[in-house]
Amino acid sequence: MSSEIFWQSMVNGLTMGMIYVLIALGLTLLYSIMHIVNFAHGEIYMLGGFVSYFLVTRLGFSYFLSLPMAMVVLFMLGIVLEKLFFSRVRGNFMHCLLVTLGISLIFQSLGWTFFGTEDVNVPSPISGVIKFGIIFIPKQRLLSALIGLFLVGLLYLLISKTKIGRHMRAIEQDSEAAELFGVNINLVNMVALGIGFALAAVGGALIGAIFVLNPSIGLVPMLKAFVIIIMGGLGSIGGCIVAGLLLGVIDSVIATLLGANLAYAVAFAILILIIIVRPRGFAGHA
Amino acid sequence: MIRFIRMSIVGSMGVYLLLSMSFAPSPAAQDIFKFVSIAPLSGAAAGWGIPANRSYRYVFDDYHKKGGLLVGGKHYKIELIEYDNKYQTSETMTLLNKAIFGDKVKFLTVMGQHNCVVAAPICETNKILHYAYASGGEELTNTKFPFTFRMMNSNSIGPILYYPEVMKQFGVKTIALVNPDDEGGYTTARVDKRVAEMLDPSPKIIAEEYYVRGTQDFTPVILRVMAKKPDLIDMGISSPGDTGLFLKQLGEAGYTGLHMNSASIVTTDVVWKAAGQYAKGHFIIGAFAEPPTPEFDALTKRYLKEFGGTAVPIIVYDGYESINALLMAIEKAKTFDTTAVAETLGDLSWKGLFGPARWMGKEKILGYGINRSMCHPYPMCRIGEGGKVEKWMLKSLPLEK
Repeated sequence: MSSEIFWQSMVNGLTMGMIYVLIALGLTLLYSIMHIVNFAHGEIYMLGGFVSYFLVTRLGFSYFLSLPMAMVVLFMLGIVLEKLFFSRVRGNFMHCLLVTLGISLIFQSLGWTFFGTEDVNVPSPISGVIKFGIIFIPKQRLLSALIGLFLVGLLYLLISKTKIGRHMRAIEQDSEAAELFGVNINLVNMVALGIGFALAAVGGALIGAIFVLNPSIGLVPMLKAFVIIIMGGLGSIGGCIVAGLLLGVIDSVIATLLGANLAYAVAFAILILIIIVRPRGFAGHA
Repeated sequence: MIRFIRMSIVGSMGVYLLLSMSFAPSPAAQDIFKFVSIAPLSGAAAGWGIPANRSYRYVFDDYHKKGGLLVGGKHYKIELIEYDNKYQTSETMTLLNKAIFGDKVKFLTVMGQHNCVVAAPICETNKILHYAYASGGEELTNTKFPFTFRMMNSNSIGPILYYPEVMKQFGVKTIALVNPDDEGGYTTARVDKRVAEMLDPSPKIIAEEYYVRGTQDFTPVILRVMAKKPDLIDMGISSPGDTGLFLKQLGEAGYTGLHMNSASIVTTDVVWKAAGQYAKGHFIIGAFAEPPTPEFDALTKRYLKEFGGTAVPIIVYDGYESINALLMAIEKAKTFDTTAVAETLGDLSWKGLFGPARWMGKEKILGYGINRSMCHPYPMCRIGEGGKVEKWMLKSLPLEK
């Protein structure tokens, strides 16, 4: 592999990794605060993409406006789902698992019915590439990575500097104690679910402009998000970022070097190794 | 009184049944020729199966207007039996058995290369005339399968006709092959390599890459291909969706060389939607920028009038052309005996929707050893602004015998 190809695949991996981080952060947030393993996360990501697509193509909104709007729509959906389903099965792992699986199947079936089978692409005003020496970076990918980075920073500030963030951390450490100290568990859960969904939604909207959207696109990013949160350590934002970028680079470099099928194998082999050697991931709690 | 009414009703029904049984014509007396179509009518590939069946019905309707299929002095009504194989081999096998042993048909069509490959040996053993609506090469068209006819140009035709042209006009010397990671993709790459070796001058195949259908991020494959610096990237049998996404990412990666689909007929607006300007100039096989004959134009208008839309799937034209040829051969052979019909059909040449057409395969460059693959003029066009099909060239193998 020439250095040109190597650096090109590194950059590709880092930009894609940043988008995976967004999806994984939502997933880790739901797990650490609500103890929900959300198997519908891929479908939330898909819905985010389609909301952006419909806002841009049918309602004439600008692509940049469609990103926060998709986040708001899916944030609201998160609140509705929390009220309707998650609040009723909270604390029962198996029930939560089955509810998320059910939601995943329902959303996917509805997607095929309402969005159709044809692949669609979110039209973006950003096109073309930027050339850095020997490296080409598509502007859309660069923009998506920067937006991802910005949102990760925002999430960090929210969790470390705000009252709701402190409450989230308190629930993560000991939910009963947090409740005794007056933390409104229901409200925090709703906000956490909404934020998790909003992050997945913006991931879908960003990917929808780079690749294509169809109702089944959620599966692979969701699997990657699971790999990332286990590698990074459940509940750790820092670990999630490191693992996401690492997975993006492994994915890209191995696929370029040896083919896409082997990239999956290598990623999951690393995951198994981490589970055996360091079950709490790079930065998870013991 | 009620008893009397009951008795009268039952009695009348009995008389009616007896009369119907005595005077209804038996199925044999209706002179029906049954033809089975095993094609995807549901699922993702239904977009191929449904239009194909419509084209068969058009041919049958045209024959019915003439009084029916004339065989041995008798006119036969043609009955199309449509089965949905969901584009799956297991379904195809079940339906094939039902058609051969249940419906007792001697003529049928199967859609999809993977389905035809498993159907062919059964059809051959039972001397069923098997119309294979499938791409591919020698695995379907060979001397062991005299009853199997490929209803469309084989995958070899694109490279045979147009590799020399891009070499001549654009100085192409090296080609990279990119295909889906399945039987169709491997067959296409094998055929392309064989054709490239036989051409003189011969282009050099410098890369052979495969991807999983529905891949989103093609960048790794693109980087591997670009590292070899090919003059032309042939996406072979790639679908329109995969082609569009590949072209978008290929353009974003800075590739400025030529690219084509030499085997699959891609829908240009799907490619354009995904790739936009990066699709411009892409070579596409089998798409017509203008009708090659008035008959082609008439079929286009007929189809659009009945089913709407802006373009007729190319599968409709090949379906019409090949089924029409089959009926011509049956009338010419004056029998439904499949051995006689297969011999007559294999020797048939005619003027059809595309112009001159015949079955080929014995030619050295094709290498099938038997004339069982449909050949007619096959265009190579280019994608223009907005996904418009722009005329480039219309060539064919020598169709005059």
